[in-house]
Amino acid sequence: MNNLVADKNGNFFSKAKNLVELDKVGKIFPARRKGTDDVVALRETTQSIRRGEIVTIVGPSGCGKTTLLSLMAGLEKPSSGKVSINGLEVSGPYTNSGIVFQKDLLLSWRNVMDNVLIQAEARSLPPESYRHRAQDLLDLVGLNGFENFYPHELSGGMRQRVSICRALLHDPELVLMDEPFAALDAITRDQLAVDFDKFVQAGDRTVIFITHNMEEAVFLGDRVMVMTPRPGQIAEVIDIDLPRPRTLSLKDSSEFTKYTSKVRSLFMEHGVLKDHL
Amino acid sequence: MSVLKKITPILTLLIILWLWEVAVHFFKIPVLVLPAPSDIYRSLEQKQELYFSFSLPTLLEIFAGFFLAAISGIFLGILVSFSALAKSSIYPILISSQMVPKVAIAPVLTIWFGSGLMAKMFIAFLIAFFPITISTMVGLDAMDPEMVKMFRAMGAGRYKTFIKLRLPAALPNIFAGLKIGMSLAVVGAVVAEFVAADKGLGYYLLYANGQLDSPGVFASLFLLTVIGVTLYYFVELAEYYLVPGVLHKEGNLNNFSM
Repeated sequence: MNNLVADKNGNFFSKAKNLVELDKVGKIFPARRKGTDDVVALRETTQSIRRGEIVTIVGPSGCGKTTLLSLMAGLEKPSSGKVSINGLEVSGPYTNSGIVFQKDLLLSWRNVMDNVLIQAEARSLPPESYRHRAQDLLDLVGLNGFENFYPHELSGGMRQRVSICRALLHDPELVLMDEPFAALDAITRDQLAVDFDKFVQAGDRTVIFITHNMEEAVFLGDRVMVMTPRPGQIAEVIDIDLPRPRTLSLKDSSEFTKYTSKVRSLFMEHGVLKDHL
Repeated sequence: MSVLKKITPILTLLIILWLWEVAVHFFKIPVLVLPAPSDIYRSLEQKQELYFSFSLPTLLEIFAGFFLAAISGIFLGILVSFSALAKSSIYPILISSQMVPKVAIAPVLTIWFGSGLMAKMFIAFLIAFFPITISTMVGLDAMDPEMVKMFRAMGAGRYKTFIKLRLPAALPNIFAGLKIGMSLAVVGAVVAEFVAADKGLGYYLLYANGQLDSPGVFASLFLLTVIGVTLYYFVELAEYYLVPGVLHKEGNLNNFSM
């Protein structure tokens, strides 16, 4: 307990190196119908997420990535083990986090500014005092001048930028992203990936980013957790030793492809990917 | 172009009325079978005061019945959508109660509530409130579960989620239900007046029919239509101000009928 310090609001928090601790966390969904077995969505996992790092979790659909994220967000309860953030066990929704989903989930009847401010309203914080920060965030993601636009007037990439601003409005220490770029076209996705460091203030903020795209996982992550399905588990964690901020030309470098082929070979090892020779 | 679009319905109506007038004179149709628009107008003009004094009670019955239906329909819709207990207890009764032909229980209600405003308002209410309840419930239930999940992650409680997410998202559905309910309330009030009344347009319609006064029947029909359309547009006006523009949806009258 000696690494607890008080912040300006008098809340105690841990200055420990690890922000998120998974201690033998497992999740089992009961069988949906008679005669079938319970589904092990996540085999007991012990991992830690360091403060200020960007961890990407890559795996095929159904490997338990989203379950893992929901457990860390406190949106689901583990069947075994425990999740702690800042040294405290997560027992309900962990609200000092910002979540970005695959769908932008913007409210169609609110304009861009009000969609960002919903984060404050939902938390019963005075939205007016967050307007300035919302504007700064919108400027940062390149949406200056679009404050009064409605979601249906924006492109998919712009909408996802708005949802990133919404997730960051309350300056959360942890950002959880569940395939946020998966619904976007490849070019828009590349652009958002390049801008990503700037958006989340890489280095200061802890980000857990889920993707099924191996390139994206390597490109964005300080560490990549490779997940394999049936039962869902983290097969390996790879440190990505590439300079930040990452640039697109990096994708052509041999170091980059070394990492992506490492991930691919892991999937082949576990039978997720197969060559037919 | 937009001016033309606005006057198109009026123009169409005028053409139809003109064709009607011409056809009645050309084919020498007896007034008893089909009065010409000019006959109806004459009837309206001659008995101005009577029509006016008979319009008021009907208007009141429709409005009161609809108002009651709107309040209780929205309330029940919210209740059923929110509480599993309410859904399993009230909802089945609600559905089966709708299978009772309400027109047929009008005489019973007249015995219970007498022949005054109360009975007619109640019948209008009974017919109008069901679509309002159902569309409120459908609107509230049609929520994207991920949206709800996001609100939960933002720390919003049930009340906050309702006010900021569920209710605004359900408003277009609620108003679609209100519009349908509005038109059904007219039916309810008229049916109630058919059964037992000493005033009102429904009563006069039946009376004029008995007197073989076809222009009177049609004049009553015309006034009922005017009342119905006017009240309907009041609901639409409320929708215009309460529902954010991007959500506007047309209420579909074809989905519900008596």
